[in-house]
Parts: sequence; structure tokens; C-alpha cells
Amino acid sequence: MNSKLLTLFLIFLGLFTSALFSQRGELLWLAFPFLMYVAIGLIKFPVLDTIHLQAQRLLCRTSSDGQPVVEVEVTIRNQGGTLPCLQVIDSQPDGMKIITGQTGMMTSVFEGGEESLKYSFLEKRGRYTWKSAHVRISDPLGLMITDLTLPAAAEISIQPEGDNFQRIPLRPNSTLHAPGSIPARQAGSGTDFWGVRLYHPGDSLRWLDWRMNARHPGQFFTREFEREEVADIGLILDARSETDQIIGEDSLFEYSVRAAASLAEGFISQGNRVSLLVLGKTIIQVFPGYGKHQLNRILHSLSGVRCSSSGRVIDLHYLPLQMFSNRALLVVLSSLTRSDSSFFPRLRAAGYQAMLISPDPYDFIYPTLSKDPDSQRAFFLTRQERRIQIQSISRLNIRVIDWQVSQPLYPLIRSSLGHIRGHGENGQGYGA
Amino acid sequence: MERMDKVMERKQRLFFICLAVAALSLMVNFYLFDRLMLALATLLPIGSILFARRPSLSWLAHFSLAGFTGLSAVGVLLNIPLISMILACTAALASWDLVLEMQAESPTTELYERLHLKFLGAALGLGLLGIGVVHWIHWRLSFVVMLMLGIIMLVCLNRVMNYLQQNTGSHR
Repeated sequence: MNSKLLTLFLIFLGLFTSALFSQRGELLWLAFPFLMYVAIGLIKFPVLDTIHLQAQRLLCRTSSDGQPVVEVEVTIRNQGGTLPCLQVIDSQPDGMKIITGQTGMMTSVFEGGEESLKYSFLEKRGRYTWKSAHVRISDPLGLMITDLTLPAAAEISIQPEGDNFQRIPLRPNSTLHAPGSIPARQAGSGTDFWGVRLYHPGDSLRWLDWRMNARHPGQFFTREFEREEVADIGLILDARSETDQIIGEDSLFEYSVRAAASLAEGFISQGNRVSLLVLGKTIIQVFPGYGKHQLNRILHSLSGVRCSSSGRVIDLHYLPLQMFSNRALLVVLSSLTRSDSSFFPRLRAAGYQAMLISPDPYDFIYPTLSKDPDSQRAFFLTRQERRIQIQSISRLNIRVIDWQVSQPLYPLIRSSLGHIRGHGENGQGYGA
Repeated sequence: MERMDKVMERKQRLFFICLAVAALSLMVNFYLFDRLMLALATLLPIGSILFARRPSLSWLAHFSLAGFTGLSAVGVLLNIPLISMILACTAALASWDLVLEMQAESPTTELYERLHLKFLGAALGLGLLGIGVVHWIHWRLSFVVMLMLGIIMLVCLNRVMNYLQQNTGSHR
């Protein structure tokens, strides 16, 4: 029962009992205004059969004060009788930050009329889903209440903002046999000079090496070029809450997501085959694919990723690596926990090339640390521990980028991979 | 935003007027009838309803209404004029309604506010008018008649509750 109605009922009961015990009928006159109040509420409460409401939700991406925002408009149409009190309560998906307006409204709607609830929220990475709008109908005095759930489904996916990684200088050990942009360490059609060999019948005369021919009369030589193919790349994003650090509204995990989005965009724009695996409370998989559709699939998955923990210890060992082909180059984005070191030997033992991009959690939280000597000493020791862990991973021939998130990632990747060119002929390069 | 402020301001003004009427009706009468302790006791529901304006303390509004009604009942038992006690009750009911409205989580539209005040006024006006008429014609009911009326009212209230249980509540 409504608390208002309950209060009035108890007061009336109290007055009645008092009148009974004191044998003073006047006491009941005090209840008269209360009864009139209830009577008006009861009379004006709309008959349920006459309530016909429809809800519609519209979403619009726009900007307000230079900030990208999403505007939500929920329109309730009344196709039944007049409703003296209609309260619209819209659900607020997780992570939504309202900028203008409110998610609730109390109004009156006449027969055939409509009312709109408008609000806007900050466009922040996430997947926002609504299934319905909740309305509460009551009499004008709020004594009798009926709750209704009207279908008003909508979904909007705000994808992570990726940085523009123009060209990532990859040099994987093995490639897929399809024309692409990655040097394949094999002779074939390409642009980079690879070597000279004896002329075989059928070779194009355009590729004859005339200098060598002049030096060796009676023999013909043909120039060879390095074949360019596509690479198979697997992105592994660590979404375990143990690896995240949050300062105010800034989260270390968001940097990893942005990096994953940027890398996916960069790799796919180079024509490579890319897949995604996210390790969190649940494992999210985007199977290997090419092109814009694949990029959309990856970004859509990244938009809904939340840093989460299932309450049990999740380990990188649980990753279903079989979704990647054994030729794949795996790019792991993780700020690492102590127990993760043993994962990387397993990765190498399975024959994968790997690269680790590890956002530095200690550098991220350093500004919030107290400056007392004990904290500084503890900080120094944990950093050393991390450095040792990274060194042990590097020794496995895995390229590690220790990323201080205040720095842009692209120059780090470029300088890290740039050293490799012409370095990996033995197939050991960097793993990548 | 400006319109909402005006609505809130109007509600606040009405609330304070109703509260003042309820408080004065009780305190002045208790003072005139040499019941200073009761006059002081009136401060308790007044304080409660003032604190009840905070959203987390809405239960104080119910307590305050019960307090005002209880004091009015005591006034009736002390033979203080019935009409002033009823006036106190009615004004307390209005301030209780307004304070609960002010706590509404969702913003309200002007149309809703107008309708709400209209029906609140109608309920209280009809209540006062009915009692005024009875008072004017000096109609005094015997206890037995009053008891019968009370029982009929309880039965009616029971029917109302049944109706509410059947026709209200959550449904899809």
C-alpha cells in the first residue's frame, strides 16, 4: 500500500478508536477532510481499461559546449483517457553521465496528447541499451499508483576513439599467402630488392640484371623482389580488474582499449587479418577477418568491454589460444600481474610470435602516491619487480613495450619495431 | 529552469502558509485554554514537518501529520472549538501533501502542478465546507449515530482498499 494512503488509514483508525473509547462523536469530524482527500483521489484515478499509452525513444548524436553528447528523447503518447498524473522514469544504463535534463518527469496528459522526456549524456565509450520506459500512473493526489512498462527499445554503441596509427612497420616471421603490405621474407612480386638468380625460361625480360649479364657472358640473370603478403594478427586485451587502476574518472584500462582500437584500425588498414580476444569476467572473441566489417566488429566488441572480475582468480592461462592460427602474431595488451610471467613461455612454446604492450600502472598512479619515504621505497621496489618481470619476458624473444600512458603509443611502437627491419632473417627477430 | 524555480517557490509559499495556519490554530487555542504544555508540544510536529523537507526524512512528514491530528483530537476532548481543530487538521493535511510533493524525485510540469493544487484545494475545501455547514446548523450527533457512521466509513475504507489491491500495483 502507498505510504500516503497507509498514513491516512492509520490516522482514521486512531480517530475512530479514540472516539469509541472516549464516547465523543466529534472526534470523527476530524477525519472528514481526510476522507474527502481519499475520495477525490479515488474518483480521479483513471480506470485501468482506458489507459492506452505508447512510448517511442529517439537517440541522436550531437555536441554540446564542444563535448560530444547523445540526446535521448522518450515520447509518451496517450491514446486513452486523460491522465492527471503520469510519471515517466527512464532507466539509466551503467556508465551513463547525464549532462542536461533528467531521466524522470511528472506530468499530466490529456486524451490524445503526448509528452516528451529529454536528456543528454556524455558520449563515452560503451554500449547503452534500453528495452523499455517505465511509467507510473496515479490520481492527482498520488494515493493510488499503477506501474506500467512500455516497450521503447534502443541501443547505441559508442566506439573507442582510436589514434591514427599510419603504418605499423611489422616484420612477422610468417605471413598468409595473400597479397598484402608485409614483407614475406620470400622472393616474389614486390617492390623491395631481394636478390639475383639465374634466368629461368618464362622470366620477364624486364627483370634481367644487365650488369650481371655483362660480367658473366653466356649467362643470364634475373633480379628478384621480396614478396609482400598479409599478416595474421591476434589482439589480446586484458580486461581483468586486477590489472586496472582508476584515478577519479581516468582508468588505465581505457588506455588499453584505445590502444587496441588504434592497433586494430592500423593493422586492418594495412590489409592484414586481425582477430580479438578479451579476457575479463567472460571471454569475448572476434574471429579472424579482414576489412571494414571486421574493424566494425572489433570496435563494436571494444565498445562494450568493461574491466571486470568474476570473483575468482582469472589467469592469462585460460585464454583459448586455439582461435589463433599458429602463424599469428599475438599482440598482448596487459599491464600484467605477478602470476602472468608463466603465460609467455607457454605462448612461445606453442610457436606464436608475440609482442607485449604493457601500460605502466605504477607510472599511472605515481601522482596520487604520498611522498613519504616508506611509500617511495615501496614504489621503487614494486617498479623494480615489474622491470624484472618485463626483462624475463623480453628474454623469451618477445618484444615488450613498457608504455607510460602519458606518452603517445605510436612513436613507441614505431621506434620499437623500426629497429627490427633486416634483423629477423633467422626467424627469431622479435617475435614480430 | 526558471519556471521550475517558480513552481517550487509557489509550493514552498503554500506549504508555509498551511503550516502557519495549522500551528496557529492549535497553539493559540491551547494558549487561550491555559494548556501551555500542549501549545509547546505543537512545536514537535512543526519541527518534524520542517525537517521532512529533506528527501531522506520523508517519514517525518507522516509523523508530523499524525502529531497534528493527535493534538487536534486532544483539543476536541478539552472542549476547544471543533472548527478550529478541524481547521488545524485540514491545514496540516495540506502541508503534509505539499511537503511530500516537494520531495518528488522527478521534475514536474506546470500542468501537473496546476491540476494537483486544484484537486488538493477541492478536497480540502469540500471537507471544510461540509464541516462548516454542519457546524453552522449546530447539528450534534449522538454517539450511537456517530458510531454507526464510523462503522460505515470503515466498511467503505475496507472496500476502497480491496479495490486498490485489485486494480493498482505493477503490471505489464
